Order: sequence, then C-alpha cells, then structure tokens
Amino acid sequence: MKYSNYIILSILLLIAVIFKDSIHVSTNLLSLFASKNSIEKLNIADKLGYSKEMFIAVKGFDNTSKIKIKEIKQKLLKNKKIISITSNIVPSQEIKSFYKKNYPLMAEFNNEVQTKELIYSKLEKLYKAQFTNIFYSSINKDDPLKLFNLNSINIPNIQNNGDLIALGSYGYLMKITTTVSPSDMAKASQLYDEVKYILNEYDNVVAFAPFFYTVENSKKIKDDVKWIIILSTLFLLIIYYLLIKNLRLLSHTIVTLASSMLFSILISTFVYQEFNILSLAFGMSITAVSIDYLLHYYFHNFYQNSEKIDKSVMYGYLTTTVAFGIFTFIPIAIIAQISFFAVISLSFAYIIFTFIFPYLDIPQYVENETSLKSNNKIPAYIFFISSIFLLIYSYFNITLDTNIRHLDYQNTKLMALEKLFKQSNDIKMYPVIVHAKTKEELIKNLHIINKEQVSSFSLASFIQDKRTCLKKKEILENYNFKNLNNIINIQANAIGFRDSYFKNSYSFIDKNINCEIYDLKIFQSYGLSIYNDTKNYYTIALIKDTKNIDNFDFATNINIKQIFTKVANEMYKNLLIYSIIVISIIFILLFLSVKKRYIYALNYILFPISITLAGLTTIGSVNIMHIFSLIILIAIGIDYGIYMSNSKKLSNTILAIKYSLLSTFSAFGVLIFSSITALNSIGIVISFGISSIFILMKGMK
Amino acid sequence: MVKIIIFLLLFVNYLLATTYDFTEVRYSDALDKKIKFQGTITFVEDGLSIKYPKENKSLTYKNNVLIYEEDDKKISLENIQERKVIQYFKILILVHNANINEIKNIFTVIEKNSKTILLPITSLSQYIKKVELLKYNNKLNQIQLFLQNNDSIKININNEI
Repeated sequence: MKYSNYIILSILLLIAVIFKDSIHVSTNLLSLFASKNSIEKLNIADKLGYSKEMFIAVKGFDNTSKIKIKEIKQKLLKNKKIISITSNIVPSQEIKSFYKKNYPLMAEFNNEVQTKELIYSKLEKLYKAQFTNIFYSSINKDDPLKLFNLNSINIPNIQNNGDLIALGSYGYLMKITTTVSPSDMAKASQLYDEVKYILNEYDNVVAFAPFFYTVENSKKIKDDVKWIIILSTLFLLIIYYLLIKNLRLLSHTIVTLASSMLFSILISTFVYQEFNILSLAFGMSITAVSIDYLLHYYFHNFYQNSEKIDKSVMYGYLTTTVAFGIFTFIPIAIIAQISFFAVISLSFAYIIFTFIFPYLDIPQYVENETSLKSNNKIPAYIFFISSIFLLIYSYFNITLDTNIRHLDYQNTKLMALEKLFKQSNDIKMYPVIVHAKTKEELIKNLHIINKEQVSSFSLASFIQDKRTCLKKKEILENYNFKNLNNIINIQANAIGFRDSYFKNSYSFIDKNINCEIYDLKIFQSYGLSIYNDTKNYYTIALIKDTKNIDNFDFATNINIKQIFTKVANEMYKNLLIYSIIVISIIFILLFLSVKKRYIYALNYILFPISITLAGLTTIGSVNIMHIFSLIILIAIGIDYGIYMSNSKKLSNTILAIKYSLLSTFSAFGVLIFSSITALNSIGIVISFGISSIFILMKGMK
Repeated sequence: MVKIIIFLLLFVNYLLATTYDFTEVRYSDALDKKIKFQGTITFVEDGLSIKYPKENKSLTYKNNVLIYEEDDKKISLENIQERKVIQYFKILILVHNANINEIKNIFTVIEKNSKTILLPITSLSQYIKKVELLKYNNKLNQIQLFLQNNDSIKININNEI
C-alpha cells in the first residue's frame, strides 16, 4: 500500500502509452471561441485566399525604390509558398485578352438605328473636330460612331504612382498571394523566416501579413509561458520545501497531481473529439486547486485519525464539482472542456488524497504555538453588505470587451504596421462570401448584390450573368454591322477621310459570342478567387456596407471583427445564464453544508468576486477570461468558506488555507506577470481574489 | 548620362522664362493631313496653361484639375478626353521639370546626335510610340510625339516672350 500512489501513476502511464494514438489534442484555437458555422465560413474564406495575403512596401517613389521593388519581387517569386505578386496596375496579359474578347459584351451598346444621314453627320463632326479642337483627339477607327461605351472598372483598395501600386504617400507596394494561412504555424514560420531573410538586405522596407501575428505572437507566448512555468514551479517548491519542510509530502502530491491530470487527459480526449490544448493547460492548472484537500487533511492530521471522511473537504469537493459539472453543458467549447477536465481531475485527486494517502505513511503535522489572534475582527454581515454594494457598483459600471483579439499578446509593432497598410485604403470595402450551386448562379447572385450596392467589386464587375449575356448576344448578332461598315466607308470617303481608313470598323464584334463562363482564375490578381466543394461554388465580393447583407441567403459576412463580436456577445449571454444557475446551486449546497454560518461562508464567494469585479470595472473593461477566472475563484472560495465555517481547529484551517492560497497563487496568480492579455487577466482576477480571501480570513468574525 | 543632364538643365533654364510662343503641327492619319495651330504655353507651379489666341480657346491644368475655355466660357470635356489631355500635359511638365529620375521611371532615354528619344516603358506605350526632343544651339526647340495610331504632334518652340 505504501507505493500504491506510484503504482497508480505507472498504470495510468502504461494505459497512456497503449492508447497514445487515440489521444488527440487540437491546436485550433479558433474552434474554442467561434461557432462551428463561423469556423466553416472562415475556412472557406481561407480557401478563397482571404487572410493569405502579404504586403510589402518600399519607402519613397524614386528610382531606387523602384529597383528595390523589382529585386524583391524577383527573389520572392522563387519561393514556392508564393502564388502571385501584384505590384503593377497594368492588367495581366490574360486579363487584356479577356477584355479584348469580351469588350462587345462588357460595354454598353447603343442599339439605335444608324441612318446614312446620321452616320454622315457624326463622321463630319469628327472630321471637323480635327481642325477646330485645340486639344488632340484621336479617332477610334474600330468604333468611329462611339456605339460602344465601357465604363472603367475601379479596383478597390488600390492606389497607384505611375504604373506601380502605391501605399498612400509612403511608397511603392506589393500585394502578394501566399499559400500560407495564419492557422498554419509550420508553413507560416517558414515563410516568415524566408521573407525576413530577403528583406534584411534592404533599408526602408516594411512587410505585413496576418500570419506574421501567428509567428511573432506564438514565439512571445512560448517565452512568456516558459518564464511563468519556471516562476510557478519555484513558488511551489518554496512552499512545500521551505515552509512545510516535508519532501515525502511533496513527492506524493506531485505524483497525485500528475496521475489526476493524466487520468483526466485520457477521459477528456476519449469523450471530446477535438479536445483543445488551451483547455488542457487550463484544466491542468485547475487540478492544482485539489491541493486544498491535501493541505486541509495534512494540517488537521486527518491521515493519523480513524475517520474515513472529512465532511468539510467532502462538501468543498462536491460543491466545486457540481459547479464545474453544470458548466460542462455550456455551449462555449473552451469552458465546457475545461470544466469537464476539472470535474474528472478534481474527483480523481479527491479520491487519492482521501482514500489512498492514509496508507502512504505521511508524517504527522507538528503544531507551532505561534498563531496570532486578533480581537479587532469585523462581523460577517458588514462584509456581506459591502459585497452587495460593490456588486451594485460593478453592475452599473461594467463594460464588456467583445474583441477577442484583445486577449492575444498585444504586438504593438505589428499592429502599427497593419494600421500603416490599412490606412491607404481610402474607401473601406468589406469582404462577403457568396455561394451558389453552379458558376452561373454564382455570377447571378453577385449581380444581385451589385444591383443593391453599385460600388461593390466582384466577378460581376467583369462577367455578365447568363440571361443578360444571352440577351446582349441576341442584340449584337441581329445587328447588321457589315452594312454599317459599308455605309461608314462610303460616307467617310465623301467627307474626306483617307481611303479605307475605317475598313475594319465594327469587325471586332465576334460572330460567335460565347456566354459560357470564362476561366475565372485570371481574376485572382484582383483578389477574386473561386473555390468549390462538393455542394457549392464560393467567391468573395467586396462591399461598402455589410449591414443588410444577411438579407441575401447566398451571402455571408466574413468580417472577422464582426463575427467575433457576435460570438463574444453570445458567450457573455451563455455565461450569464450558466453563472446564475451555478451560483444558485452553490448557494443551496453551501446552505446545506454550513447552515448556521451561512453568511460567513457565503462571504468567501461574494467578497472576492465583488472586490475583483469592482476593481476590474474601475480599471477598464471586463473580458471573457476575467469572467472565467471569476468562476475559478468561486470554486476556490466555496472550499475555504466551508472549511472556515465548519472548522474545529481554526488555527490549523487558517494555516491550511494560507498554504493553499500560496499554491493557488503559484498556479494562477503568477500569470499576472504575463504580457499576454488572456493570461494576465486570469492572474489579475486570482490575485485580487486571493488578497480578498486573505482579508476575510484575518478580519472576519 | 552627363550629356542628358546638361541638356535638360539648359532646357530648364530656357523654360524658366515661363511663357513662350509655339507652333503645333498635328498629323492625322485618318485624314492624311497636317493641321497647324499657334499659341503660347506658360508653365506655372504644378501645372501649365496653353492659349490659342486665334481660336480664343485655352486649356489650363493646375493641381490635377483641367479647365477648358472657349470664348472665356468653361466647357466640360468627356472623361476619356480629359484623361488623355492630362496625360499629354503631364509629359510636357515632366520634360519641363527635367527630373531625370522621373523621366527614366517612364521612358528609356536614347541620345542620338542632336535628338533625345524617349521610349515609353510603362502603360503609356499603349498610346505613345516615342517622344523626340530636338535641340538647337543647346536649346530645346522641338518636341514631337509619335502615337500608336500613326498620328503625331510636333511642337516647335518659337521664341521666349
């Protein structure tokens, strides 16, 4: 029995090795926050090249800048992860030939009958203008009567200086399409290094791509987490070794925590198809809360007693697991997963600490008679009333932060660069995904949007829908251009134009006009890609106003900021509902476990939460991580409230809680030193909470 | 290279006189005829102004705005027409400013005896075949634009006013 703790860990390790192939941990952080529907949308946007773009700008518009642009372009084109580079406003050869072939269809056509007299008068006007116009005006020998008129297509978000694309007044710009999406860490990191290597040779060159955040932030997060783990371990070692001075207890605790985490990993990855790495990290931290049970047992010499169960610890455990148990049903993946992990690991740890530890020869705790007694304690109801006032204050001052990006590491350097590249877009255009069963229907849908928002930019800017095309085809095919050509040539001769100058007029109208959809890939350089899966064809349209876009069932807004704001609002709503349920149940369970000292125990939940919330609302806005940490705080508070209310030997309970608070600070509080907002938020809440629990312990009677 | 710069500097000195007379001869391939105009050109900061006194017509381009006047009345031009006139004026301003870097951004510069030939390397080549600058006594006295549609415009600078 002495080694049962190690045997359990060994068995679990063996199971983990056997089932290692079925343990899948997902690294897709998006799946934790966005709904399945939003993820699907963003995945399609990803396939359409949205967010796979990279921008490089060279300062200035002089010849040196021009040479730099050319050199960098040539070097980048050798990279296989780069699909295309646009640095020029001159259309590609493919687009030019598209224009040439489709000009009669794309241009507006004046279908009016051109009589001999009308033609004569138009040509005569043209002839005379050559002598009277003080500015040079060329004669279009293909369309001298100006029957066709093509309005120029404005490519949005593109400014130019000469033929080259410009980034406002900063300098020349290159728009690069890559194969790398921000979620593809390995490829992103590779391309990031390769691009930086090329750009290092040049001065005054700046680059930005969404995947730069993935690379730079992940490095920063890794460094940050590494530093926090070292700090956390150091704290724990100090508590156990220097304060408790019990190596045996330390090793058994570490083994139990490892077993609990491993057991929970096995169960969680079996239950959830995509158990996330972030949930895993959080869940493992929450497991550390179970040290409470051990410390309470240890300082009350439970392992030396004949009692089988300590009621305070059992009530604490049950209330915490019921709270987390309810949260496993919340439709927010991260909270549901963490809660599930916590229920399993805390249960496992409780069983080991309660039923296995008595057989492990844990040395008895020897009391020191140094406990300080204070007579100036404040009654519980004062803390209760203060908490209620603080909660009312928080309710009226709270602002919720709906921008999930704020939780990430705030890479100010990259953010400034992103702003520089976005600033040049004088007219803001937002992307929407448009889908349809067929290519024809897709173009038709794009035209429906185009009709609603004339300034929209999409494949509809270049291609007509089949019905309009066929109508135009019929008009052009029925028009007698041959006769028109004859009359023009006769009249032109009579007026004095050079012989046969208009011999090819209107011969550019192809007899076999084709309304089949052209190869749409050629428009990729304008950011207009097309993608199809088994069900649908998808493309992107850029529009000015996304407000009414949901009215079209074939269009989906993919403005990431808007999607996440919607997701965050839903999250807050769900959190509120579940928190109310959990808190109500906690109140009932607490009442059942402490009865007479109900307000006293309740203060261990209310006071830390109200102090923390009031502090947060005074400092700034409250984010999703703050709220989640408040839930962890409730879990901790319940235990302490029950222990303190039911304590037979208060000095030992206080000591157990003191060490427990220190270990909680080691697990969560150290996160206050993190520069990543998500982690820092947890650190702030837990530190506030721990401080207020300490105040209660010392000052409440 | 040095020759070009010296030439352009001389040209600048000449043009800094701001206003001068010119004769413009346009060849129209459609008509197979030459049409002659006479006027004055004035370079101002960020623009230029061309007047044809005989026709009582003028074109002024300043701060990216083109104004066309007939008998002192403003007349709006068609978009395409306006864009082409602005493009043409920009070339004249570029040559006047003699910014060699700017010129080389748009043209390949070839020196041939007393001629400087500018071959467009940008989208300008869609409309312009080449530009020839002719100097006499180290002073620019002729600019000739050869267009892709076989038309040409020859401007002879007569005298400084």
